[in-house]
Amino acid sequence: MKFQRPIIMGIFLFFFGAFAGLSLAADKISKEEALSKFIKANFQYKDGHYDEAIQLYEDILKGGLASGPLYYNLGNSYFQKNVLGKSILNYDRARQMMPRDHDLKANYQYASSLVKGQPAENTQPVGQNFWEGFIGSFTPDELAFFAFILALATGILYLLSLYRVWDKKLSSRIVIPLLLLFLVFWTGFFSKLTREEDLAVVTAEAAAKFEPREDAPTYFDLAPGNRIKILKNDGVWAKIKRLDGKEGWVLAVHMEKI
Amino acid sequence: MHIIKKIFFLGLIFGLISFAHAEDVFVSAEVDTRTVQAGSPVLFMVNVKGTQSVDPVQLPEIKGFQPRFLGPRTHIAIMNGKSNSSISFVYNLYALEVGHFQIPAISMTMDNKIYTTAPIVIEVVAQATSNSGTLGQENQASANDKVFLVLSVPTKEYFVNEKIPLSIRLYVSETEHINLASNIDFNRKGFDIDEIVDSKRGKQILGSENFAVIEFKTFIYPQRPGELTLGPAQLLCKILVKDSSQRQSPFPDMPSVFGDDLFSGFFDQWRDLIVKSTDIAMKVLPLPDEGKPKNFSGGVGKFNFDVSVSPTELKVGDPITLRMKVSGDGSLKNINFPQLNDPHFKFYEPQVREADGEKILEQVVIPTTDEVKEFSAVSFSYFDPEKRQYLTITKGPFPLKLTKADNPPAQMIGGSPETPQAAPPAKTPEEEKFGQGVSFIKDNPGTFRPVGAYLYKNPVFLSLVFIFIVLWTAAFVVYRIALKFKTDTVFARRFLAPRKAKKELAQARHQLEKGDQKEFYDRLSKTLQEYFASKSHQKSAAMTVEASENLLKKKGFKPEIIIDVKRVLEEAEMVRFASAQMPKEQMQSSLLKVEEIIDHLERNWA
Repeated sequence: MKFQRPIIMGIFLFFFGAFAGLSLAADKISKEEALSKFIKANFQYKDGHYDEAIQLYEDILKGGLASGPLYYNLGNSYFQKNVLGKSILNYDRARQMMPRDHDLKANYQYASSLVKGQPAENTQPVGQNFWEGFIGSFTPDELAFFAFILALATGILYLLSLYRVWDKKLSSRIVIPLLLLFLVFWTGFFSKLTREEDLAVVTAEAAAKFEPREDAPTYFDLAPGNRIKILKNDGVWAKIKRLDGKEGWVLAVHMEKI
Repeated sequence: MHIIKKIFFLGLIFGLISFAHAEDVFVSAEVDTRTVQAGSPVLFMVNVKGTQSVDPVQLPEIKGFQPRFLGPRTHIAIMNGKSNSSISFVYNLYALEVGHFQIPAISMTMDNKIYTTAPIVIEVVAQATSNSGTLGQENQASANDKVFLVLSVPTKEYFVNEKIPLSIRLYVSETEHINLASNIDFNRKGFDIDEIVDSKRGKQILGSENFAVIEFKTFIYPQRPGELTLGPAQLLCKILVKDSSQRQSPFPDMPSVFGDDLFSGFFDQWRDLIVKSTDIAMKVLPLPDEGKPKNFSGGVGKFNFDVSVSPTELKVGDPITLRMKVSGDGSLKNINFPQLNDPHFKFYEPQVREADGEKILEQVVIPTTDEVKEFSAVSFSYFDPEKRQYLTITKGPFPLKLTKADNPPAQMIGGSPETPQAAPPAKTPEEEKFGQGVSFIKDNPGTFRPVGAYLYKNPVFLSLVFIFIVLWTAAFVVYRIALKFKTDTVFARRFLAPRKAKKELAQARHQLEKGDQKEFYDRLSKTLQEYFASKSHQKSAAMTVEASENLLKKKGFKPEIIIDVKRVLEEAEMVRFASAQMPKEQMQSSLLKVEEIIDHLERNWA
């Protein structure tokens, strides 16, 4: 018992520290202030003062807080200002937080349809489209949470069947589907992280060069709103890959990671 | 109508009979033929002229024949107030065997007078090979002059797939009555054929005979080049075979009522008749390679080709309906519509249908860019067998007026031009059009959270995952160990041997402190024996001094250890069995030695 007390204290301090560290690092602005700014920004938007609305929404983000509706409203504000790149960027960010929102889907599709020179993504098999549709309808947090809960349930039920608390046949009938479901969500989680890692949106017209030099020949042009994947950073230059697989070097200032 | 007519005249005759005067009676017998095939009947009649008040004649046994009474026939004629009546008793005499047989004289008694007929000799011949119910060969040959089938085509030389009119005419002499019993069938190998239609009925005089003509028409299409034979065609008919007795009337001198025999057709029979034509040899030429267009449709004949494109004013992404129509004189079946390929358009799967002598293609085409100004011209090539050359009809180009789409085509219709999908439903004029714009902003900010903060990066969540993994692994390992102890007794004994020894030594120490020498050495000896037994998975009783020594030697332990073990065990035996006394120091030394031995063995047991 003498040795157990310090262990419990250690665990407590770890969790406390983790929460405290998070709140100290992130909350440069309080949630009440953020709410106040959000409401003001909405009024500005409704009055057609999009610049002011953008300023207020951006203030909340600079304050370290974010939410799906905040990104959505910011996307709308940029759209109204005809800043297509920033609009799509914020819609993309909102999709990571509220992927099943119909308004967001509609706005994102409409804004994307206005993007110039958006190359068609390479044709994918039906199965892959279905899979991407599935993982696209969950946030990474949701996928991680469901995977954890399913793992928990699977693990506990399996142990119960091992220790013969539960009938082995009955538990195997539940454990196997749970395990498969867990694998689906687990794979989906990693697939989403891998796919969306280093995704960026072009915010200003840019030329993709063959080499990371100003005087290098231009391979193709990028328009605001184009979705790209950042492959490598080299100073002010970034090597990017377009949806159709074409790669080139672009000045990093012309894009923002989602 | 024929039967009603006969009943009417029979009634009339019976009405008039009472007015007739009596006359002389005359009896005779006759047959329709003197030669008959075995199995066939001879029509035998006993005629009584001058009266009708007579019972049917009972025929005697007739050798070689089986009689069958068919019924009486009566005749009445009134001329200048004078009646003339008669009655005939009609029999079928079926010939039973080949040979010459005599129908004996038949006697009848009327008004106490005996009347006798003359005997008749009949020759019965062997049966012909023709099937019963069909005409014999002789009759068939005879009938073929009266009923025949003729196949005809305009010429004898054609091209592959050329449309050839085929006429099949059935000639039937006006003296014959036939019914068609089947469809026309003929050898059509190498030909494709349309449906046969009964197109025309008429009359024709051939030689001196009148024929009724039924003409059937169709079109045939030779499928391969070379010498092809069409036919012979054949048709199954039912022909009416008149009763032979009518051809040889028993009353040749007796006029029939209004020229019509009341019983005419009573004994007529319908027989099967197969009518067969001759065949036609044809020379079928292949289509020439010279001048054959690349986009040759496969059509042979004379065709019209029409193309329409609508609408011509539209937005990029809106569907255009392309319609091609081929009609004319020739087989439409083999016609392929021209394949269209234009990178400015997305072509969907065409719908092709054939009806009313036209072949129609309808295809949805979607312009993918507003740069295109027209839909290219479409050409259709076919072979004209009359001119013996390929001809091409070109329609278009069709000017288009395209404006930019509200949405790019990719947003509206999935798939790529390379993989055409089912055509989208064409827009109807009534279809509602919606404006485009962004949905309004959200009033509720949702849950604010730190930028970039994700659950999967949260230390608490990660710690929970980690704790779960550790706990689960621990529970699993414990289960596996427990299972091992439960199922592997060798392992369990070996694993527990040092613990057990430790406990026994603690007991021994207790006995040492108590000064109970015998009990102390008992414990000491038992500790070693049980330790060795557990380690080697044997019974402890079997672990004598020698057995223990052998076990340690076998395991390759140092001789010093073996000597120590031996010494302790011998010392214990001396105390236990020889009641030797040991000083307390010696006992303490032995206890320490056993502890050292077990410690050493535990560390070095292989």
